[in-house]
Amino acid sequence: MASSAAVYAIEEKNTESNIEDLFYKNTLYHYYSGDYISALTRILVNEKRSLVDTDKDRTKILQGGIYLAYGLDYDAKKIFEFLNTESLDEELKNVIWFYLGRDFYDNFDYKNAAESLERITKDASYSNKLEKFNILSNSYVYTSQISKLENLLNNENIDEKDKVYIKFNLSIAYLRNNQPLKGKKLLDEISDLKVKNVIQSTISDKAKLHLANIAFNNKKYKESIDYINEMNANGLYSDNAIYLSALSHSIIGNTRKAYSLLNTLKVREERSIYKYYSVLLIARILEKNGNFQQALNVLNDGLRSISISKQELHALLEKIRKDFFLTGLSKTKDGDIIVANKEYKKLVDELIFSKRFASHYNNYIDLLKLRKNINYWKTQIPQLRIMLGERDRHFKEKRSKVSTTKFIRSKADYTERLAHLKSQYSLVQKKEDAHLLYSEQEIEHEDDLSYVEKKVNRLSRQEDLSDIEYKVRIMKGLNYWNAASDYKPRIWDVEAGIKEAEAELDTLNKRIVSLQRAAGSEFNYAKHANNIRILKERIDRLSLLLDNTIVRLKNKLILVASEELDERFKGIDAYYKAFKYDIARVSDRVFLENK
Amino acid sequence: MKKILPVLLILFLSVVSTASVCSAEERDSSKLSKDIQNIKKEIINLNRDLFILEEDLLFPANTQFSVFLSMDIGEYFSLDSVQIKIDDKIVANHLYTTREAEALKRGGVQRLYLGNLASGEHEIVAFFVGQGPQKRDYLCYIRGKQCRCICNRREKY
Repeated sequence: MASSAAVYAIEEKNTESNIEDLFYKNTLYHYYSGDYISALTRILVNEKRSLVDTDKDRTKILQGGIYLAYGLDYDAKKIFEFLNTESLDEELKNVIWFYLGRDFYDNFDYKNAAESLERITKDASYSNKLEKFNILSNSYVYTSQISKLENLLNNENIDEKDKVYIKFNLSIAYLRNNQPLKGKKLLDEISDLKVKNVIQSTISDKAKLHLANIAFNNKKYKESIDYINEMNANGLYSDNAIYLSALSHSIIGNTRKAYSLLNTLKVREERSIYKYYSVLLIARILEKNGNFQQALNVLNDGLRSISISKQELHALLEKIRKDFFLTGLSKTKDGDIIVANKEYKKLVDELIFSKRFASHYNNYIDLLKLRKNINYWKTQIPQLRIMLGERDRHFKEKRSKVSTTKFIRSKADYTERLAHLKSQYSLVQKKEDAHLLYSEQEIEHEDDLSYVEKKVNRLSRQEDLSDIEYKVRIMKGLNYWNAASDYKPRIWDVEAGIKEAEAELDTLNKRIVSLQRAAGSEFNYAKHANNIRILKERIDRLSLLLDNTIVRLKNKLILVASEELDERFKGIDAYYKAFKYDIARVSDRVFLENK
Repeated sequence: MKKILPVLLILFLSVVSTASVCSAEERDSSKLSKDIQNIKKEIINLNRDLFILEEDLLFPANTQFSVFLSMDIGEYFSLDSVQIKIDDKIVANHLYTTREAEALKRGGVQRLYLGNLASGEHEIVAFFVGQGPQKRDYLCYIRGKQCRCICNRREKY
């Protein structure tokens, strides 16, 4: 039952992806996909790794919600009780109340369900609001709180078109509490609605059937027939409606119509109770009209059919008691597990309406999924051991190759370069001399010129060398002018060079530290190996426990299914007796008639 | 009076025995339900520890590479499948069920791939196959070399 709970969480707006919410939204993905095992595992892994998103409370509430959906009610309530403090954000509190309200409702505690849902101050979305109001209206019907239902109906926050279900619930509450006029008035309003979807059409049909029943009980048979004629001929309540219409027709003497209606019902669903009702009623109409032989034939046919159903049901019961009927389950596209055997699938489809069966069945499916999960890990353990060995070998190999020499040499080069640039920069700042910013080429050129100058100075002064001296001075001046005109960009280059060298040194330092750490550290093989051994033991222990629980649950499912079938067998047996009784009576009439 | 007493006694005994059978069955059911809850919880805790170990051994933090997928443009595009290629090698394929596609539209983020990558430059390409307006088939792709590549482009093939 809990597993079938609908998915609910704070609705995420589809805005641009936010990397901070990654872990929360990844869990949401599994939760919305109905994969509760992965969702819970992800949350617990993130928690253990301290990968919790910005909003811790929101993640915790989601965890509680998934626990509820997965049938771990106790753990869910523990989380909600812990979180539900004054300091918690109002929006998150509302989510907690919704989860709790729905859980109480699923567990048939309607009073607490209503109280929890009433505490919600603001709904996350319109669809959540609608779901809340529908659960509330059901809870009020079960607890006979008419005034609260009336308030719900007058609530301005819900669109009129979405109030049909609440209106129907209120009408039922009026009828149950001896206020037939008010109830009938509301039912009339619903039946007059122009239906726009399947849900509205079904509610409208249900209202008309109620009105038809009220008219029938008040002996207004024609009015009852009129209501039924307005209903959908193949809707959810059509079997019941056709039978009621046939009864009304037979009472007012329109036996031909009643007969034809019952014949349509006779060929309907195999196990429908109306099938036997209709055969009995057809025979009684024929008997009432004096067609005793025909009535006897109908009854004998019916008895044969009911005997076959009885035998089939008996065989099914025997089979279920001997054999487990949920073997050979298969998976649908959406990952749901269904019963593959056609005969049993039909049975399970019927039994699933019994809350007792549904609860055990859902747990059984959950345990089968866990069985698959455990089997996967069983195959993974040897792989993990191999991987551990590989990583250890790889680590040892890598460690032997670790050397910091290259990086230490590089570090010395960069340190030297940095020192040079810094001193150059500091000198330039002090002297503002363009000489200090000469490029390598310019320095070389300057040196060449100085060499020429020295040579000229050493030569005999008898010759006229003033022209050469003049040219050297001019060239030196040009060299200086070149550097001076480029003064600012050259200072910027020095500054950029300092920054670059500093960054490079920082990277080298980190690299050296990391390599030194790697060389000195150990891959903790023993710790991991021990961890694998412990986990293997846990897998084996839980595997046994799981098998044992599955067997117990299987036995429980067989018991519940056979009890449900026993009840059905008793019902068919009652019909069988009714047929026998009618056959005896009609046979007497046939005998007397022939005599 | 002599006849009535044994009858009453038998009735009383039968009521008592029925009551005890009922409570035993209830107790049994409640114990089974508790055991199921315990085993579910224990296996999920085991799952957590195994996942952590697996991640530590197979995908160490310094080489771990994950591809996450989220949708912020789900209104006109219904996703059918995704293929991820890293350095021209197919590493992940995913065919979406209705529920999974819906989970993405509702704001869930899927971890599409978890693996290892050596440091350096790599190319990742993702192909998205789905249906657009009027149920027309679409193939979109994104290609990127950055680590945090968030898809918000849609291209008709």
